[in-house]
Amino acid sequence: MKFLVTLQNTKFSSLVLLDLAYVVVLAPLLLMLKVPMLVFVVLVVAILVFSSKPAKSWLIVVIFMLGGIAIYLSLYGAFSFRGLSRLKLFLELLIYVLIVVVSMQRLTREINIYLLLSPFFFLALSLFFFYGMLMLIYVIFEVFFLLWMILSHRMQGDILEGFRASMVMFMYSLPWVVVLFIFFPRISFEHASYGFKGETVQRMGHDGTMYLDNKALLVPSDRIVMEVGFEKKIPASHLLYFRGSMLYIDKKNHWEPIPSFVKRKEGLVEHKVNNEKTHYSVTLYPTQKKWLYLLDIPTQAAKESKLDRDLISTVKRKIREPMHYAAISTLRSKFYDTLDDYTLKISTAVHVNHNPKTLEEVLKIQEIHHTEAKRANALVKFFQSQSLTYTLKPEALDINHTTDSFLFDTKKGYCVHFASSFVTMARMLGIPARLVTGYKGDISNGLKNYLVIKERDAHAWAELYIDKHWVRYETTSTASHIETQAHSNQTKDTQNSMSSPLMKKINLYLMYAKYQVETWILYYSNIRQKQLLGYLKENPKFIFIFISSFITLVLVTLIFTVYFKRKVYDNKALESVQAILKILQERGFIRKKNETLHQYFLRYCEENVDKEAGTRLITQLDDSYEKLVYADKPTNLALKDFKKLVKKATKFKTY
Amino acid sequence: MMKSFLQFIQIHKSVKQHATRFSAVVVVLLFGLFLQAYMHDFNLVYITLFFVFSFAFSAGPIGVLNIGSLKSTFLKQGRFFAEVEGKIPLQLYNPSKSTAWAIDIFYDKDTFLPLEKLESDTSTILQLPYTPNKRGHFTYEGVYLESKYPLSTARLTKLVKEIFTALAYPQPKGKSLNSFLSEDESHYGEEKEFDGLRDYDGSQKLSHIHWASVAKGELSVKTFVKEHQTQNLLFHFFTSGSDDEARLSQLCLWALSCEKLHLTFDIQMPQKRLSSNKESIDEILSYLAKY
Amino acid sequence: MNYTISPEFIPIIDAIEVHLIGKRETIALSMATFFAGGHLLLEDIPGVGKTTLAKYLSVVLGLDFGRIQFTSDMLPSDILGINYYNQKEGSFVFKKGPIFSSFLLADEINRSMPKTQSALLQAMEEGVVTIDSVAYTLPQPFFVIGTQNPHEEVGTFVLPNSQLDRFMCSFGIGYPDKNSERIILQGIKDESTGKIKCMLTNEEIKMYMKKASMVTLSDMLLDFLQDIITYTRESGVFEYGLSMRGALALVSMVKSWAMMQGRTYATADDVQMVTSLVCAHRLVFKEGKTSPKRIYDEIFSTIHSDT
Repeated sequence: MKFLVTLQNTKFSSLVLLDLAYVVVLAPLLLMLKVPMLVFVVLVVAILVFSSKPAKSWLIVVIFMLGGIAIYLSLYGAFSFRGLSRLKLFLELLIYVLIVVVSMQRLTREINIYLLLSPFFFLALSLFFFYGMLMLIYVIFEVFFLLWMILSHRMQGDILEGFRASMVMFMYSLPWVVVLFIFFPRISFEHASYGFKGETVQRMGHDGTMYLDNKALLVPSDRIVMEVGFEKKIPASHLLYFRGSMLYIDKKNHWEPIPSFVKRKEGLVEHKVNNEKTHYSVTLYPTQKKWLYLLDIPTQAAKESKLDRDLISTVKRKIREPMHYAAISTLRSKFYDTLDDYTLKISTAVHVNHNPKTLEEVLKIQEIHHTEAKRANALVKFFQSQSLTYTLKPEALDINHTTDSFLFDTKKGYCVHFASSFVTMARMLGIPARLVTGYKGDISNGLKNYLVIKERDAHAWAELYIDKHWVRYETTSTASHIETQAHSNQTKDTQNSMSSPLMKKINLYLMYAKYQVETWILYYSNIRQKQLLGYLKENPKFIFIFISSFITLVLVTLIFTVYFKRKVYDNKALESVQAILKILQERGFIRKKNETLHQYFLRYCEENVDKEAGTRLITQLDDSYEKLVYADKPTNLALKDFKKLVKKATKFKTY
Repeated sequence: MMKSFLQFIQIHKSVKQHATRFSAVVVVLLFGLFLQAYMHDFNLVYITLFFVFSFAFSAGPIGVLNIGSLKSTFLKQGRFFAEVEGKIPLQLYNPSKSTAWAIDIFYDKDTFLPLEKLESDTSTILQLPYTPNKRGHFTYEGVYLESKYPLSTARLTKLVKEIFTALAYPQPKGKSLNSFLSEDESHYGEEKEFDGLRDYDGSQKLSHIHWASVAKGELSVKTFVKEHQTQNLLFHFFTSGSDDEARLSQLCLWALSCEKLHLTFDIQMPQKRLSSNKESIDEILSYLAKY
Repeated sequence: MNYTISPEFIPIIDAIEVHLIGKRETIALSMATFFAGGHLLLEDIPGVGKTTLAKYLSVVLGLDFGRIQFTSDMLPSDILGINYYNQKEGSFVFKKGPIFSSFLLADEINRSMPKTQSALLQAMEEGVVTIDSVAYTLPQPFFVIGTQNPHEEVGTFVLPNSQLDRFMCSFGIGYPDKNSERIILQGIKDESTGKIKCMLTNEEIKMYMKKASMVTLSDMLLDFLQDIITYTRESGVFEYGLSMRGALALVSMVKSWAMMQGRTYATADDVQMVTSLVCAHRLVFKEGKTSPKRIYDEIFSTIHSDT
């Protein structure tokens, strides 16, 4: 409180207000300044702090030269005239030059129009370099702060009044900003390729090669790989297969994809249109890999990516920054495909001799069943009968006989072991088969239409080619036991932070909120706009919700406006007595210009002698009010009593 | 609601808006941000753009309300003399519920009086300096209020419609009343007691020169306390100066001096005898002004 | 004006009112000036009861009464006293002037020469009289009621404003209202009530003076007071604004008036009540005649108290 009082009595000079504005707009830019430039800034600030006189012209020349040197050192190596065509470098140079020029002008302690305008330039330039939730909040703060400083300057440095006025203005503007933001047509929607440096932590993506041996080091962490926003509700759990890479070649201890130099004929992948399409958008965090993960079965490539004949989508460069893409899939477990010779050959290739025990079983099945479909069913049944255990900590397999070892010896493994054995055996039976890796969504990580895919959701499954269709087989579901002990042991460390389900829930809600802000504000695009307008057209209920939420926003801003526009009273008693004055004025009992309250109340009592209860109340009010306002140090208790009295008086009807 | 809207329309009509260099800045800023948004397509740029736009947009009505609701009236008080700077009192009243900020009151083209703030339901009186160039009636207009509140993006002006008219009295100059009185000492007062010494300025009687001080090298005169018999002073128009203007100025000066000293006096004008017993000083001065 | 005089002062006012019918407010204000430790200037035409007020007030307060009738040939020594040579004792002896009384009525001060006037006013200010480099302290309490005829009167010396500043308050008594005048004209005077006696001891006077000085001025009220003081200086309506001494006088008077109403704190009403009295002889309008009423209207039509 004391602080506020001193603030009330201090008037800030224009220079101080301007300095405050500079501090706020330069703060984010300091994060990207190179060391020589930072040193330069610190030097200028030091001069400003220690000398209160306008700098002499020699000093300004020195600062100019130092600034030149700082710019040179900062951009040394990176700079050439060709480099200027790279926008980022050009902008960096612009910022440096602006900082030097502003420093020179600031040292003269004279305000000119360029010094006044530069904060806006800095703000605009910082938008080139920073992006994300934090920056969104900071930019709104910056905008408000600059407004606050301008108004405080207009009000002769009265920053409290300035705050009130800027709050009013800010609140006036907010609904306009919202309307403009929603309806302003977006002209371009290609993001520039640079932005936030992103998180430097490498996300362990899903590898192209799949190891079956001890190298198969699983890191089932809670790190988020993807955030998926469905247009509608999250689909059922058994449909949430995100396709990653495709593996064909069995190399004993690991599986590999088809080498990239192999040219395969384009297949005739058929997309049945009568199936319901699912629209969703994905935020993919840096994986250092090239795969985009799409739900089975993707119907079209996501932006910038290529969808190959195995419906695997890849981008040209490794994903190093968060990536956003919209996608459409039909949720099915099988799809039509025609196989060319090469694919047929590679998806049936199997080393029969490596797994003799398995071969025995295969021969048994072959004898009994003669169609591919029946053989596949028998295969599943065989897996189920083997009483296999799903565990994240399996024993080491015999590298030379992995399938035998898994199916007959250890009988313990995770998705990779299940899927690879399944594929090997299917191939032995003569069914073309392949391994798919990717992610399987966990519905407990979802909220409404929002699903988080974590690293531990990494998965592998098998696809068998039956009746000209690739059919998905969830191989781990054949496990008879699931060793959850191991599972929880593995993830103990990551679960510590959110041990209770409540914390997990709260965390999920926070992430959901963050995701909503990102999709609807930070990555709002013409697609979203169309989506929104489409909803509006089709859905009368949504129009109602939309309009009512907008009206709520307007009302909230109005409340803020009224709150900040209200007259401020130094004295609490004076403030609370206004309620009574309002009532009396409304009753037509007008206070004269030069009348003190005491005189006003007395006049009321004289003129309304007949209304005994009213006058008694007013007299009582007058007495305690007088003591509160004029007497020596009124206690808080007295103020409380007075407020009670005022409340009582406002409820009184017959004045 | 409707009423306040109409009120706003009315206020809006009374205020004129002019562009400032900051209006150009806003336009440039909007254009620049738009280009940046187009190139860069970060929604943060859009948000900043829309904020700047909305601020500039809402600055208009806020500024209009700030200056437009002020009520200004000239007060009929104060005396004006030809070629003497007088003060024209302009009362500003803020009837609105919020404080009016940063108002400049322009008079005489480029000169203005700054008014930092005017709280709600209060009034203030500004003294606008003005020098009438000759005696007689004069009118004064062209005063206007100007404010760049809140963002300097527009210069809002509001003309004070009222025209101030007043009468400028003749410029008071000529011989001082003292010297007039000393012309006939005995008539206008009786010297009672020696009061002290004062520098000789040429108008005093030779007999009052304090010769002892002359011997020391200073030239002083003795002054005496006088008891004024309340005899009426009488000023004659024709003997008070060489031409009409000089005479009027002289009479004006004497009348003012007498008012200050609470002396009664008569002025013998060609057609009329003015008496301070019958007429107020202002009536006498008005007569002189209109002569 | 709305005020309720504290019951302890009612008998005193009653006692004086017998001789000054219908002038309760004037009596109360005179007492307030006394308790504020200031001096009072009564400015009115002869014959309205200036002397009566002073005389009975002195009796009630139990102070020894001195009176000086100012004339044009009066000398400072007539007021202060004189050192004369006592031939019997063969030395100079100081003969005290009439100023050495606790309650001094300086009747028609503007009839004497400025020199004499200033001798009185200086003594009022300092409470000390210096004659031939010997300082004589005036009795405590020391209260002067100066009376002055309005300036237009024949044969007067105008007191300069700087001199008048020494008086805390100035007001007139005025003609009695119709009812009171009738009572006076009827000449009904109860002899028993006419006898007036001392009603306050010296201790009580000191106690009331201390009480008056202890009255609280809240921040809100000080704001209001400062607004008024600033207005007198900056509005341009007056020749000069209120001096610092004038401002202090205003504060003392506000406090004392609050004390007269039995309060320990002053209110905006008190300020409204006393401001024109304190300012009447201090402020001069640049144009036109100055009167307490005009000063009141001028100040309080612009400066409002929110409270």
